[in-house]
Amino acid sequence: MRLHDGRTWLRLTDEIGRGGEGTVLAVEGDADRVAKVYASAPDAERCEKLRCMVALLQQAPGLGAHCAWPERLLTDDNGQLRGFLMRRLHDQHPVHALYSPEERKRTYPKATWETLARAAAGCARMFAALHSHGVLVGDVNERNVLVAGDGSLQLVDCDSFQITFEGRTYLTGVGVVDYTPPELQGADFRSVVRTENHDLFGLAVLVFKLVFMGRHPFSGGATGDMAAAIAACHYDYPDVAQRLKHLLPLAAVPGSLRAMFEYAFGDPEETGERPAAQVWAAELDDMAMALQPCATDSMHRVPQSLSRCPWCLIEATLHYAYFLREDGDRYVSTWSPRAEELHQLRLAMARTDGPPEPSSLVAPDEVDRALQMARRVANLGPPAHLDSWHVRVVGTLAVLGATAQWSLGHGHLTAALAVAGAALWAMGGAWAWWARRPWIERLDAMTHLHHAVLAGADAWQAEAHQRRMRDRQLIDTFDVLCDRHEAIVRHRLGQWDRLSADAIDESTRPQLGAIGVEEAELPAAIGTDRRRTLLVRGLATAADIERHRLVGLPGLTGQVIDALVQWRQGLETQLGGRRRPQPKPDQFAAIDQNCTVMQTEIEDQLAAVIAERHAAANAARDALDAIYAAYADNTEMLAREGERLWLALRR
Amino acid sequence: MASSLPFGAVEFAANPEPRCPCVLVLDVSASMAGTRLQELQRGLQQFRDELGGDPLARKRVELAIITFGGACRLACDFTAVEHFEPPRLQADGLTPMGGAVQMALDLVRARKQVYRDNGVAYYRPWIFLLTDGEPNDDWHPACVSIRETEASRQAAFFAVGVGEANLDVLRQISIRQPLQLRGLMFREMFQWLSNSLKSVSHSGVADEVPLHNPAGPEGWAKV
Repeated sequence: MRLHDGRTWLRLTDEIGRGGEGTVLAVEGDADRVAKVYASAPDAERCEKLRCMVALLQQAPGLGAHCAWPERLLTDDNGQLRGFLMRRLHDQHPVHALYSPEERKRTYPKATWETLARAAAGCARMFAALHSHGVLVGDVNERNVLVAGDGSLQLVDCDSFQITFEGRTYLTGVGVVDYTPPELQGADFRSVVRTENHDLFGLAVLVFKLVFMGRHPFSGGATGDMAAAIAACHYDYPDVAQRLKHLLPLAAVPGSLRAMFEYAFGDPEETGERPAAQVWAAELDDMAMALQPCATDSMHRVPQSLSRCPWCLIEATLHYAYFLREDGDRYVSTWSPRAEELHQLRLAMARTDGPPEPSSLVAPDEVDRALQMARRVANLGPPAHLDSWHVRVVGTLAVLGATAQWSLGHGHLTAALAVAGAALWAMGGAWAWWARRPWIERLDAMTHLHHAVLAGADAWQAEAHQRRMRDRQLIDTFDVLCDRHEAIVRHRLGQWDRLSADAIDESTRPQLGAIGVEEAELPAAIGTDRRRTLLVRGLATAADIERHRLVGLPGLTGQVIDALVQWRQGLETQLGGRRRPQPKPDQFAAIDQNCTVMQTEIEDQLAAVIAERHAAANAARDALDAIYAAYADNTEMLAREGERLWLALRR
Repeated sequence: MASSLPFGAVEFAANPEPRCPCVLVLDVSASMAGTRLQELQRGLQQFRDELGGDPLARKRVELAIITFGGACRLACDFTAVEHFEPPRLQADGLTPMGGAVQMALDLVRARKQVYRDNGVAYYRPWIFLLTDGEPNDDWHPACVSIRETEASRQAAFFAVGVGEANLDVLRQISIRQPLQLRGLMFREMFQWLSNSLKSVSHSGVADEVPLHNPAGPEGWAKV
């Protein structure tokens, strides 16, 4: 695609992203910029808004610091506006990857609660900068805020901002309920003029989610309906955290921030204006500054407002670590199931075309006409030959005449006449054969061609079927390899398990094998259903309760698995078993490395299958095209020859 | 007061995103054997892959699978897309559709209780029924339950018929117009379902999302 940016023509190449309104494309020769191109030409209002945004950026260049602001407009050959140029953001993840605990541990393994508080402060500063220029984010949501590896934040989808330029306001037009203040719940976003106060509700929700481990301040209560809860100003996290002791208590943040959340999420008619963005930024910075590492775990950050480390307490009750441990002696695995790589390979396989379907044979245009002509001509048969027929009639008459005369007694004359008549009759026959021979030959040739046409279609389908069967085999091979790739996760767990301290002490295995799961007193978390799950999977005795065999069973969460393993370990201790010493970190590292090698080998094989399928499909198309060409030629010849014969025969 | 952890506490601590539950109620009666089941299995795999590629949907959408063929079976309890593995389907027996639908409704009700216990918001659950026959059990109670559930907006029910499915029965069970799958376009159907679930999970909880009509000329279904 080629678009003009007001100075020069730009070539837009690879697609980087795709959204509801259009695509984001790389710009050839410019690594720092990307183009957003709308799927359909934007309307006059949107064009005007984009022009104003570009003009606004020239007045206030600072606007571009925190977001992918439209820098230049892009037009096509006809001068029609098609999109805009903006800064390219590298290695960024949406903010939900930072505030969701499990994903954060994977994506930002070094992040602490302080990192999160600082990110929240950065988010507030970003809003403050926009608000100071009279720009509103409007559509605040978790996909529009991106976080870079260094913790800095950026806003994207800037063309949805609400801006005011030269006295005219351009609206956002959209919104996400979870970040919409009570006074706008249920309103038609297309006509809503947003205010800074509306934006500040969305900001408060983002800040809350970053600080409180991804929890939304409005849980939705008994109906799960967040919109209704927000509309009713039912800010219920404090209640939920009272009920669920494993949530981060509100007391973990300073009183000033607690009060700000109350204001931001309270009834706007009672609380008035929500706390401004720069106030959030300042308070969150203060909070981050005052955090202290915990004595037990250097990754834990403890607020001054609490006497004990909240993370240690949560880990003790929930058996879940919100933060990765930073332990020098311990091997911190960076092993990945390589699900993304496998996903990409699966997509590539899905995008590879197989050989044509046997049923997809399209007959050449003439085939109906040709087959019809062949049938008609065959029905007509070769033409009669009148002259020779006349000769044979004369011959026959002569023989008959001779017979009649012989009966009357004229013997000598009759014999000569009979011989002459018979000779005439035979000559007529030979003449007929001679005259009709070319016709018969042409008809035979046509029958031959007719069969060739029918056989051509059969041959095409037979070939296609055979190629298809081979393709099926390739797909099956691919599926089997994918299964093997996915099975490595469990294989690795099994290996870890055997190595780790919670492996069974082999000396106690016989006694453990005598303790049946069916009648044993299992931990409280194991109800009838889970007990049945264990039994149907063949985990019949305490000796079968090994971590790698439990992972992935339906209904068994990490917590339940921990409880089961602890139960078995308790039995082992009673039986006089001994705990195994902690294995060395490099033993775990070796398992991981081995698993990664297995994964990459399978990935190579998968790529080979894709290449083979691609090549086989091409070869199949070539072979089928050749068969088809002969089939089409024969059909054309049959049609032409059939028509000629038909016309000649009817003449 | 002794505080005990609610079921799934760790799961919702690790990922507290609002949940978008979806139950697939799949016919695996004997008539589904062969190409139909193979294509359905491939469709499921692709469905997982498509949803798994979306960073927000993979945290929000939870899938469960109930199969009915001879007996109703919970083939896979609610699992977040990122951990979901499509079960191997095997065709056998008759078509106890009524029981399967009832089981799906019960499953959804129980799951919503888990969300509430854990203080997590949720989207309106989706129940997606796929069949190629007609029920051989008493399906009228399921029919009444579906109507009650839809009326109180507690779940959205979709029905799709394959091959010789009895659409008249589906019309009585489902409030929405049941759809007839064109040929074996399971992949296209799951593509539509994953796109719909993606748009729903990107919207806010309780937003009404306009869905793309699957019965268009290019679509996978006919009415």
